[in-house]
Amino acid sequence: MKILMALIATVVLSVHTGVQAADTDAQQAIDAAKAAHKKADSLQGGWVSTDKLIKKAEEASAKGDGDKALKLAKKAQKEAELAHAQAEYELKNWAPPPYLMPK
Amino acid sequence: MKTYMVPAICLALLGTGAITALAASSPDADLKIYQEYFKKKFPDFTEENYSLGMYNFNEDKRSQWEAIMEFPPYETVVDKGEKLFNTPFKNGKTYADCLENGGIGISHTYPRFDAGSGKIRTLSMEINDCRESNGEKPLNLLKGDLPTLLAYMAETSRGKALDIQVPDDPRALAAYEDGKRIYFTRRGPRGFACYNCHWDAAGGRIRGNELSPAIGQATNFPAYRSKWGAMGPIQRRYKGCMKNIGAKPLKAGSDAMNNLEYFHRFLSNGLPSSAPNNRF
Repeated sequence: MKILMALIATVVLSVHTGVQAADTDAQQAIDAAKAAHKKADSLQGGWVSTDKLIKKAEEASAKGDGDKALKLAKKAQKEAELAHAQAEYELKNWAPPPYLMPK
Repeated sequence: MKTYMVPAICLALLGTGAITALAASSPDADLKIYQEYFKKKFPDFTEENYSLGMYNFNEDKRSQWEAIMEFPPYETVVDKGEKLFNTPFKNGKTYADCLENGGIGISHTYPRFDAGSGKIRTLSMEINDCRESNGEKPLNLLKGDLPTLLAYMAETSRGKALDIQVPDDPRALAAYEDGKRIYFTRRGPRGFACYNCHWDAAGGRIRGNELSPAIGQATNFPAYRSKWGAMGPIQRRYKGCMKNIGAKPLKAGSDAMNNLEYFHRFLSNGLPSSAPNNRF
């Protein structure tokens, strides 16, 4: 009986620790996504969809769904990085199309 | 207006890209190229056609717009704007005391470059600065009384040719070039710039919407949009366009947005102001 109780306690603790870890990971991912998004914004390059992903990640996190929050936050960060790369490229390479250039 | 080369200072501000193209450009030279493009694309266009925008390309929408224009919703807004304009502040002064020519017949010359600050000033800024200098709170830039005041002031410029000046000052040229950069910069997940819809695609369609030519659009604003159910300034329309391409809109009243308005209004230089107008 004592062994069974110990096993149950171990399982419960493991699950609880796992949930806590997922929540922490999700929050870190959300913070990272926000930072990346802000960086893209600083070059006037943010995307509307990134705002939405971050909001959904925060909602999932608030509901305790750490795995979903983590997935959404990582997607948001990837988007923000793409947006930043686009904005950096455009700052250096923007130009009117050839048909509007001086001949 | 004089033709001049873009000074090195402007290029330095703009980074390293597209220098070859920009070095040979000037606002007047740009405008000539831009106007020629549409003259070739739409050889039968009159000044009115440019102002008509998307209604050139869909007879059904054109007839709906013409029906709306028999009793245009903007008329009541203009009346309200006139009352607001002439209502004294608490200190007894009015907008007319702050503005050039009492604010009458100046709308078609905005935005302007301000040599004092080295920045672009929109008419909305003039209105809010006037309020603040008379102890009143500034108004929301996009909705409510401010576009209503803009509508009245635009009415007093109706028919006058847009006259956006880019003086021979490196800061004015930098503002113009910044507006041009924003206009031609691809943004959002689809990689669209303003020009993608309103130059080579003008006259075409995106989903159910016909695309208006870049030249002439700015003659209609502020406009009463059915979609808004209200009068709105051109910067509100820019924000909508930016959202449509998935890009986070620039902040209304920011230097970037003001510079974009400066460039975009300049594109319609010489065309008669038809603002306020009605749009779907």
